[in-house]
Amino acid sequence: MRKFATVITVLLLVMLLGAPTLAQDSMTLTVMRFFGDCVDTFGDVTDLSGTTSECGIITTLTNIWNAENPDVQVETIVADWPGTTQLNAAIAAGTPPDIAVLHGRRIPIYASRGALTPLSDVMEAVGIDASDFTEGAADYGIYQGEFYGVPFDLAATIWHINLDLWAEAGLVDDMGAPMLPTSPEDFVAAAEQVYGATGKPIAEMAGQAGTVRPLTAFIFQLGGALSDDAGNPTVNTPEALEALNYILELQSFGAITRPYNEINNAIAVENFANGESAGLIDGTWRINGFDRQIAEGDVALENYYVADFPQLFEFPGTFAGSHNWLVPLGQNADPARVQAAAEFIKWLSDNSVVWARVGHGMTRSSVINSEEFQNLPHRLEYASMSSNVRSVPREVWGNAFWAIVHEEVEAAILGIKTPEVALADAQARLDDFILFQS
Amino acid sequence: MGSAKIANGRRYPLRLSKIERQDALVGFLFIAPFIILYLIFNFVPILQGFWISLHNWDVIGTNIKFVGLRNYEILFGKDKLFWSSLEHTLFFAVLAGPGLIITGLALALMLNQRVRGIGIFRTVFYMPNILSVTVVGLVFARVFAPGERGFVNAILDSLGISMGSWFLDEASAMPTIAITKVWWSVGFNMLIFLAGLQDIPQALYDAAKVDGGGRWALFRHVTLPGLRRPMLFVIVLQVIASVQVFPLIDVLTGGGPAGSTRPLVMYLFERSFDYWQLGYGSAIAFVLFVFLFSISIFQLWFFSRGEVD
Repeated sequence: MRKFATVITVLLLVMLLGAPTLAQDSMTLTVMRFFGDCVDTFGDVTDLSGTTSECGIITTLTNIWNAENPDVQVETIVADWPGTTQLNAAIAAGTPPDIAVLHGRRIPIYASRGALTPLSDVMEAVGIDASDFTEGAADYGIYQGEFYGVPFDLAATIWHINLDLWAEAGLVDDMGAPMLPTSPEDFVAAAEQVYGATGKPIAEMAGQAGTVRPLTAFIFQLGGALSDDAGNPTVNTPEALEALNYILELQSFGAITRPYNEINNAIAVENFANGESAGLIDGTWRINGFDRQIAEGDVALENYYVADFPQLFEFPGTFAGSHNWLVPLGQNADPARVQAAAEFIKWLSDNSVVWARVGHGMTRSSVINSEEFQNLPHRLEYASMSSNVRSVPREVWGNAFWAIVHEEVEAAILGIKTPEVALADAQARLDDFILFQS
Repeated sequence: MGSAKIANGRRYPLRLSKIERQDALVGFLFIAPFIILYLIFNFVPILQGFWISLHNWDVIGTNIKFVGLRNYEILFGKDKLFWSSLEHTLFFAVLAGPGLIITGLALALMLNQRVRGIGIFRTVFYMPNILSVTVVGLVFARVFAPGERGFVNAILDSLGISMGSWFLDEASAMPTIAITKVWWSVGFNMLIFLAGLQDIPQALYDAAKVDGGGRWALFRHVTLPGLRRPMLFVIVLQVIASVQVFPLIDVLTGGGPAGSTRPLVMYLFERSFDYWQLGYGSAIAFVLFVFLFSISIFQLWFFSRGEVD
């Protein structure tokens, strides 16, 4: 009996001691991401040629990783955009994924609560060169001097242009490029010229592309800021009022965009594709879609050009979001899992030029300067975007700012509130948000 | 042995016999699984929600701090959005509620006929009710789309009437949502009323006709009293559903334009999940619970006045 007990004890000890070794041999990482579910189409695909959609690219990249790394398999959990509801539930339940993707402005609130794993050291360990990120892009992953996210792309607001309609108005130069306005007066004059020649608006703006995105861009261009020295939000400022009044002027002018209450984002996109507007203010994520529609020949749009968001005031500055890869395993995560997660993130980052096919801007100088990136359609047309982008301040209120300011600017555009009241209400709501942080 | 007098004047013993006690025990055992599950999954979360409402509490379970009744003080004291959201919710309930009840009743009256093929009509009118909110949202976003793309605007345009976007105009957004809600949900009410109509004995109508009652008199003195219980059921359910409206508005307007269609439950969601203020969101939820509970009790009392079994 004693002999039997000894054998069992030894066996148990061997199993217990061997377990970590066995676990290290093979690991499965969970990745929670949005970008859609396309397993039916791309479930087994490991060839990236010709793939241009967000879902297709990320699924194929994951397939390639799994094929090349049998010891560290990646399992995808597809979350609904913007990915926060499922991630919050997983963190609250104590079962966070190893890797998640979030918009950069959402990082500070997670990091401030200790829900994210600091990444600066492990990035260095796996060879992600932080100095390779462009200055504007690096900000999106940082909170209080520490990287908590690895910026994957820049999804910026840009100006989609129908060159044929601009040519009709005589606003295309000898090189075939549009003659872009550089001041508020130029912008209005160009709009009048295009509208006079074609009867179509020059820069259709709908939804957030008509509210918080241009507001923040114009505040930056006017030299204003979105926070004070203490890091508190400031939106009731002279620069914000000037920017909002200018947006109201653009909205009411008629030649810039159709009235805000007559179009939504989907319709503005349709209008542009169907040649019913000479320009559209919207995101980089539309570029590939327009190119595909043109190639398939099912839209009126033919000669398509992509310009930076117009710089009409003194300083460069435009809105951009940024998808960031992060490790939501908390402050005391298993170093082996964090290392494995960082290696997968590095691999994605190293292959991010493929992601650029969608139209997004890139975050790494080495990628931006690569021949493959430069050869992608339209890249040279909006080349300065990556250095012009400005991040929402890296504060816990970053995401709340976005929703609140959009709603209040919308109220001003629709005449529900005066610009002064809208900005004051936005400031009061943001102050209220801060109150709950104390 | 003590006894208690009840309504019909008969006296019943307060103490139960052994057999009665055994019967009662069996009865309790039968309902025990429900009671236990109800306590675990309904009652405990309600209490837990109230407990959370007394705290600052992040949605991911961090930053927890007891604040007592501060969330309620802010809610009732200075939160303009809470009151405007409540106002939007009640406005929606006022717009959609009568439409759902009157249209449901009208459809039920029309379909309470013995005609060949009537089942097809009943099915057709009930069918929208089985669609998901996303499908309904997408369909009506198209029906009320701006310009010629929208079905309604295309018809109005042909009549020389110009309308912008129904969902992007502060004045038209909520009524348009209410119309969508009526189209989507009226089939359920129709079904309840139809069942109620078929329970009313034909003899009552015959007797009323013999007494010289016309159509309106039959409806007023036979049909409506006969539908008392289905009516109570429908009204209570509609009020609860209207006050809890969220997904339909989320799909159609997202609470816009400029927050003018934001209902209370959407506000609760925003504070809890977008702003991470689960404590404050729980306070809104608890207020909503008390509000709905009170209204439902009032409705039950109001409609059961003078009712005789």
